[in-house]
Amino acid sequence: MITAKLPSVFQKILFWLRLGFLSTFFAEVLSGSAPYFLLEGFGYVGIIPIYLLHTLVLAGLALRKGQPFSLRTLYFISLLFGMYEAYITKVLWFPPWQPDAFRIAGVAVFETILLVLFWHAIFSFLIPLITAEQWMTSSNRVLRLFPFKWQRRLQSPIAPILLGVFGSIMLGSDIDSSLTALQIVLLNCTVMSVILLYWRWMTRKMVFAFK
Amino acid sequence: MGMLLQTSNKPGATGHLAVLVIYAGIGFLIWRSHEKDKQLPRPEEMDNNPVGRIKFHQWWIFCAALCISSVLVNSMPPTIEFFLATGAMLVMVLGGTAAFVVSTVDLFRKGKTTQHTAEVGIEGKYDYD
Repeated sequence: MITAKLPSVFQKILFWLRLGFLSTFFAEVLSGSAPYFLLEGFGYVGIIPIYLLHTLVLAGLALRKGQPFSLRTLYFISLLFGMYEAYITKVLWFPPWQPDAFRIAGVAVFETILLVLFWHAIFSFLIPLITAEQWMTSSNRVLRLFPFKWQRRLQSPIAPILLGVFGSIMLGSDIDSSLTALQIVLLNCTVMSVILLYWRWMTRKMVFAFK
Repeated sequence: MGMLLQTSNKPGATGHLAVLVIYAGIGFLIWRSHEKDKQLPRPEEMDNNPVGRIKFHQWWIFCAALCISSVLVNSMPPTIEFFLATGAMLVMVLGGTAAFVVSTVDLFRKGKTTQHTAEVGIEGKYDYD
């Protein structure tokens, strides 16, 4: 018999760490920006903390206890994620891959649309949030915000296939050889699988909700 | 991201102001959206029926798709690879713009916020008993 139980502080910290790893994995590995973040010291002192803190703070803002929220609000909150590309990396002003970018008031327009409105909103925040809730908890607060047909699409096998293909195209644009790409993917998928499976094993007799 | 921490480039006052305006705009949208969401049912009323951890096999499908297509994409001729990358960029720019426009229109549209209360993944329900 499995009973509902409140997680301990230790379990909460472990969950948050996994959420940070998922966010970093989807954002940095699939974009090819930091495919070896697991093997670099800067990954642990710089990259993962940035993603972890952003995800926690923004998810906390959206999923406040007792407060109703919609998918629209969640998306607007997720826009704040990409804004770290301004003051922390300065990419919104000076995209390194496009020095002569089209700018309005000093801000690169297409790079801002790409990073703020899409990449960090979807890949750094929404996808990690949905996957963390679906794979690591017992609730459905985030997925339930989507229209029913989208809920079904997101749970079908087509969704992870499309995500994998899209991610490999993004990763491939930064990697030279197929062997290197395979190494990166195998390394990260193996580590992430171990992290996720260990959590599921550890919480196999518990029912957690995303709150 | 590690390589992108630029220290030599410094934005001018206009650049700073533009980013602050974007922050303010996003902040306004979040506040306005939160205000509109207050008409929605409270989460406790909807969260009393946890359906459990479902469909973890999606993770394995994702990993397999990522592995296979990473090899395939990098084995393709540079021209096709270029078109794929350009297409992906286009999808991101158009997708991001569409998501923003749809959300903003939904925010300023009169009437209640759409609430999707349909149950999630009945067929994938995790059996705890």
